[in-house]
Amino acid sequence: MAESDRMSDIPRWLSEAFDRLDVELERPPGFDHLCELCVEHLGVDGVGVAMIVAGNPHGLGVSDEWVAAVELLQQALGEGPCVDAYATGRMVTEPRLAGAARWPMFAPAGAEQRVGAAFAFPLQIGRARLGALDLYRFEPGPLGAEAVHDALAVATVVTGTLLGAMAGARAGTLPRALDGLIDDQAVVYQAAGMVSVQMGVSIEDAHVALRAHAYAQGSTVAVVATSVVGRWLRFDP
Amino acid sequence: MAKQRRISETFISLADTLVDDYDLIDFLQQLSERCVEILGVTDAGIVLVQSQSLQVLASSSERMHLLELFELQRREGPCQDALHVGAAVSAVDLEGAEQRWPLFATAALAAGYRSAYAHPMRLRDTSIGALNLFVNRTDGLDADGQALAQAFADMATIGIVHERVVHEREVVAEQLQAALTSRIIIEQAKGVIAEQAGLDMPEAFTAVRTYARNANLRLTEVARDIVDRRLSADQIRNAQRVTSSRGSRTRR
Repeated sequence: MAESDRMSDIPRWLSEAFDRLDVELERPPGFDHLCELCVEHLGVDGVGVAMIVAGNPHGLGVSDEWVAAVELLQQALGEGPCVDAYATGRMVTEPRLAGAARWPMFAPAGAEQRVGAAFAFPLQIGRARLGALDLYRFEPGPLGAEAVHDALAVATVVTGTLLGAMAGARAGTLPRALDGLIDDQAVVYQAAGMVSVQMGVSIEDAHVALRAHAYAQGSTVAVVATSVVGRWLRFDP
Repeated sequence: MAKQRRISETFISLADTLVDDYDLIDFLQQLSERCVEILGVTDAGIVLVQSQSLQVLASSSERMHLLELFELQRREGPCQDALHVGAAVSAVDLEGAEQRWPLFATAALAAGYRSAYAHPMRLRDTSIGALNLFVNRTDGLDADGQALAQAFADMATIGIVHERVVHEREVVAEQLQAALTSRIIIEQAKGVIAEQAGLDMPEAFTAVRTYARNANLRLTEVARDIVDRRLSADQIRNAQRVTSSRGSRTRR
């Protein structure tokens, strides 16, 4: 049972994690540890945090490698709890993933990854959305009320951390910490530029092609992108 | 007790509105109407201090005379006094108030009001506005009523502050998205030029950046044009050739 610091309504484990989060200005904020704590305290088996910029996901943290694969799956297929939470700005709960009609492709693919239930919370403030916090459980079933409350608090903390990293920067520039977010994925964007020319398609379609290829190969977008930029993989029309 | 429940519901609805589709004006309008219902006053309005004057944000009725009163209050009246003093001001009988507020008292009486109350919306050391109540009876609000009115004024303050905080953070979030998107587009443009011109990434970036500088355009703009196919590697190359053939001075 998660302990709650009733004064601030944020569970103690979360406020302690937040204190230790110590956003360094030189590196992107890392939420792996926070994701691991969420697994421990929220009664789920896997947790991921992703920022979505211009339709592209940037994983900010995962509790386990397999979570990264499930997140990639959603982006490759263009459907799933993370996608919906970001698109609608509303919490998404799917206590029984197997056979979930709203995700005809993700549901069976997710089940193959042993995911029995999935929940996602948007990272947002007012009308502006940054991404999503995703929870996955092997056992189907709902998320308890206390876990929902705590997950909302986690989403708020993550959002606040990202905004805090931004707030000190000059208008229009990225603080170094968030710049690093793009650096890590630069090869993916460069590859999309190349593929859009190779295939004669839009940048968005080029990104889709990269993800679809990664998924089909059981690889990651970063690996595929590196192959493209290294010029030993071409995408033809 | 039905009244107590209405009071609780008002407080709860405050929490309900603190979500992503929160509408401040709608919330304040509802608050004004609840004041009339729960406090038993005739009319209620909420004004915000704006620069040197007051702006009406909500009122329980559209009656012109009410709005005119608000107008007059900008020069004198219980609202002005409450803002000045930072505390609630009451006029239990407007007939005795003509010396205190000659313009306001006359107008209020003519409109049928006999008592008026103003509760400041306090934020730390200042008042950001006021909740104004008008009643068609003398002594329209007893002590309990006044305490509750102050609680409603506090709710209005929370609603307004919340909206400002959310707005400020929305702006930061949007700046974050915009800055990240610009970075992304520059990387994508590098890829496009690299493929079109057969360059590696550093060379592609140099070509783009040089073009932007020579054409006196922002890097982000040029990158967007490249990604949207309004600008090609050939065009960039041609521009470079023209520049070199003119023998441009080397920039430091």
